[in-house]
Amino acid sequence: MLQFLENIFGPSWIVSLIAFLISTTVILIVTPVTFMMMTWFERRIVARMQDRLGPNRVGPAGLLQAVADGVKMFTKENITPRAADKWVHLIAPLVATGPVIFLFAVIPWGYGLSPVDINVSVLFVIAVSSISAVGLMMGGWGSNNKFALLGAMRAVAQMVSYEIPAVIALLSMVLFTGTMNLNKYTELQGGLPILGNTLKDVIPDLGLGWFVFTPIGLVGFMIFFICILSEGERTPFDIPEADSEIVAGYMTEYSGMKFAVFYMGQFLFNYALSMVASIIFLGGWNFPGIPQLISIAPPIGALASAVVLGAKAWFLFFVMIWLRGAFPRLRMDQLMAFAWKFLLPLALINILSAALWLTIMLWCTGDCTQNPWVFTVGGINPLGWLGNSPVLRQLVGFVLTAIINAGAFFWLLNVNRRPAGETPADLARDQAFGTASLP
Amino acid sequence: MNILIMVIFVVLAAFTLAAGVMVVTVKNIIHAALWLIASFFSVAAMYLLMEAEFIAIVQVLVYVGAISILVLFAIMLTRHVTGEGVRQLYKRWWIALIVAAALFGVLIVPTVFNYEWAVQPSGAQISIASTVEIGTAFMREYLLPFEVASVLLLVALIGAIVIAFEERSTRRRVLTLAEEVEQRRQRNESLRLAPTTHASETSE
Amino acid sequence: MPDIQIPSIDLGVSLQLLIIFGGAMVLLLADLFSGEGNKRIVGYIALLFVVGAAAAGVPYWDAPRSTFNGMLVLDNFALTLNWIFLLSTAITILISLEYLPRQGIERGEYYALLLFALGGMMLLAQGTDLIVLFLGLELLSITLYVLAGFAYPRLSSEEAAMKYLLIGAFAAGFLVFGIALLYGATGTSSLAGIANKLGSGLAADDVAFMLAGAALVIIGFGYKISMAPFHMWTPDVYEGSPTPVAAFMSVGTKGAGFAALARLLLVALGSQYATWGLILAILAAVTMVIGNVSAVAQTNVKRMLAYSSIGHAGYILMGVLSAGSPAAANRGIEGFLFYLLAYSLTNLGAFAVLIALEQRGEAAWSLDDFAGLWHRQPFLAIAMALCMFSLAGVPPTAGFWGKFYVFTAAWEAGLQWLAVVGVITSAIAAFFYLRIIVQMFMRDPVREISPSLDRNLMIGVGLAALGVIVFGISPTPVIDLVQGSVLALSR
Repeated sequence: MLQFLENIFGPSWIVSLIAFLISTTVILIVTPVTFMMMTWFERRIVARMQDRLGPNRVGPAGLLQAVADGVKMFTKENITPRAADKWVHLIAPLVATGPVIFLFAVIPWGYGLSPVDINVSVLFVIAVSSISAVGLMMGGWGSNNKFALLGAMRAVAQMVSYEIPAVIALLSMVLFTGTMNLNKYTELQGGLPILGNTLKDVIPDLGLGWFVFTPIGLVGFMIFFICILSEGERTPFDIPEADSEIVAGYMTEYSGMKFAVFYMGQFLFNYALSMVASIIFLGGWNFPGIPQLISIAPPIGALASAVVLGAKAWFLFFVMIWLRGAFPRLRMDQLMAFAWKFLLPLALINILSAALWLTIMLWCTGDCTQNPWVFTVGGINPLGWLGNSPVLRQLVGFVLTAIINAGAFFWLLNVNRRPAGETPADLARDQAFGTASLP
Repeated sequence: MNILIMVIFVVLAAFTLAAGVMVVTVKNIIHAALWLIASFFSVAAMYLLMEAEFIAIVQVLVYVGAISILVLFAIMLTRHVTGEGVRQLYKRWWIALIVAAALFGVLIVPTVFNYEWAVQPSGAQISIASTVEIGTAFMREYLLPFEVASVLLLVALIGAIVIAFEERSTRRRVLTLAEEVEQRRQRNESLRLAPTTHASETSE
Repeated sequence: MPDIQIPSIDLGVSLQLLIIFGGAMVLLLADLFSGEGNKRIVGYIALLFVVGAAAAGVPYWDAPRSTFNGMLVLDNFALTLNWIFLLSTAITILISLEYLPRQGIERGEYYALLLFALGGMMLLAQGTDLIVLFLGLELLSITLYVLAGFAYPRLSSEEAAMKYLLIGAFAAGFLVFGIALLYGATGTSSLAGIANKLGSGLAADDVAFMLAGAALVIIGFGYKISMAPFHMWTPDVYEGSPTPVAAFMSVGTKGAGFAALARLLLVALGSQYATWGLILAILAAVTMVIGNVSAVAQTNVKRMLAYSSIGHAGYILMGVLSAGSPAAANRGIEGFLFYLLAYSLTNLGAFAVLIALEQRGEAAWSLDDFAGLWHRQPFLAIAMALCMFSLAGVPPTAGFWGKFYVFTAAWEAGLQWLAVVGVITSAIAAFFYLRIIVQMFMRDPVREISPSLDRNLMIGVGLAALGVIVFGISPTPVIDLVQGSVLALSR
């Protein structure tokens, strides 16, 4: 095949260059369209929740509203404040949005549809998503506006704080599966709920062994999803652009297309991370029937898998909109306390449960002489009674980790029931002095 | 493939060097930090070009994602240096230049002349630093440094908390407007009465 | 799931380290559950762990072994150093127990950090790999940055921490760069591996790398042991830090830095003695002269002790570098260990007396404050006099034997001129040490100071002074100890 291509196009570097250009172009076309769809979707859904209609004039059901907005953005005046740092102000939206589009390069869109297949794509997602913080910082500082700077500081502090539980939640899944390749997560999540692939010889692959049905995956998914909300500045966590406090945060001084680019970066970030969450926790493109379809007719299967994965990601995005319609904004200290005092310990306990699960699955499997799982306690294999049946081991692991994770969840909930700085004594003192308990 | 890689490499190398020069010559300290980030990033791209994916990603994660954010935060929180011109070169900068160039020359010249440059890549597929190999190395050859590094990080964490933590009881209370006005009034009165007693009050 | 074979590890080699690190973590928890204003209990637990770690080393005497792929050894050399470090830490804990509450800076993390620093020191003594040495040094340094700033509302303490941090980061940069070059030249980070590689000869282009790397590593360690051109930070940092921390720093960093430097120079770069021997000898001479001459001009006793510690770094360096010469290989190591022990005890004792004189809010560090101490606190005066005699190297004290050892080592190594410089600078040093003794015994008190001498401090001072005099009168056990320790430094 490569030889054939070479005969047509010339040396191999031209072939690879063209291949890369094609996939780049596809990504660069698909992502903005996705963004436009998302804005329309969000406005319609929120309108529905607030008992009004939302945009419904431009095109069928208002579907072309996003296009009209785009034209408006293009034709608006492009303002750069005179005291701003011109270059930093100009580049900031690109630095904030560029990495988000990078993310789509490693995310598999469906079966066999990953633009670049690298071995450490989970790590890539974590690393690249942290770059856009630099862009926000540049935007906030370059605008030379105190609200912008405050917004940028808030945004970055929030991103950095919530990145830690998010990374640990992903890490527990990496430990659980033993791979950092997003492409491999889907095939690991076939089979039945809870039991996974362990009975694949008996029952056909139903494509329902999603990790969200295991205790580790459930807790990991919850943590990761909350962190997505925060990193993408979705509503309970949209403090950086809280318009009642600091105008529009780091975007205060942006107008026209530069503003649109920032906005696009934010929406696409949400979408990309929703997609990652669907792949890692919600079974990727697994769904009853899809594995069979892929094995019978790969092209149709690939298309169907892309639709399934897209549906899952859009569902997560719908949940985000739902939350926006339902919840008020948090306070800054509540936000930080939630990340550091609830999510982080829970994520750490989750990673320990993942290690326990792994131990139960692997300890002395086979003849118990093979590395690395040959440890015995006083010559007795403490998990010998489980035998070599993966089903039994999976069930035992499920029960144990479920107990641990549920216990940790309720314990942390109990410990954190009263927000930091609001113990009765503190409240009494604050009342006496008329002081706020804000740090 | 070679020509393409060569071109990309030359562009990246030139950009890295240019960004590095900008870091030490540009007057605005925030701009210097931003150029530093740019050079970190292009170094990561160069790792990627050498197919060391893991190291490239770790470079981005550690340097671009963590260290540079920290640098930016630190600069922005010390407000009086932000945005002002900082003198980067001092009077005797040329002495430093000569010393640095001489040391670099001493190290690089013998290598340039003695190294076998025309090495052909061996046919065998060498995977550079895949995650599995790095993990294995951490668990075997470098187990002790790995463990000690964790202790080191713990100590750094504790140290940071010890230095930065303020007990709630000693924390400065946020004053209400009325209290501030009252305080200011009292201070003015005491100023009028005895100008010398005021010094102790202005401590932060 | 790929197979990851966990290598077989001899945990006995790292037993002392494990006790110390584990102890530090237990202390953090103990701190959490101990009441406010009663953190002494944490200190007592720390003492318990230190004693436990010292006892844990006993079975390993004369049974050298290594583990973690040869990155960690426990030979007699390391064991002796570990004991010296444990002793220093124990005395430091004793003298801080009452000092911290008196200064209003009592927090439980102090003891945990001390133990972490101790772990770093022990890693430096036991490590035989450049990476481990670097990590140990960083562990020690980071802990000390925090401890130097432990009294942080006090400006001088903040200043000390800041200076130490900047200089320390700078030094770490040198060290890392040097390690990288050494690795580039030899392709290994293990000390024995480097020695092998150097023994079999390097390619021409690697020699420059090796030399530059060795120089940078020596500079990096030179900062930590406050060797002459890199000593500027010492007086400021010692003066600003809380006094027990300064005491700990003056013996701890120095001892650990020297331990690692000795292993690096003698094991890895032993074949290059011709290159570094003379350079280090000159630096040692400069260090002794600068340290002792500057100390003469000081009226602040804490600064004086800081300068004198620079001078002593020169003497210790003399022992280390003499060991590089085949003629004095054993003598040099013995001298280094003996001197380190004597110096640690003496310096801790002297700083402990300073602590007794230090009041809250003001520091009694002026020479005048020592006037007439004999009439008010004979115990303190005698202890201080013993320490001063020992630092000066007057015969019936441990300091004398230490000096004797290193001078003969230098003489045997063919560095007669260096020994002469050492004797002359010792004579200069005697002037300012004896000045304090004169103040204490022959003057009347200038101003009223009530030294606070509690039980723990008394034990600390007494232990140090007792060691100084006992090891001075009958040095045989220590000599046996250090003579047993050189054998294991295999070359």
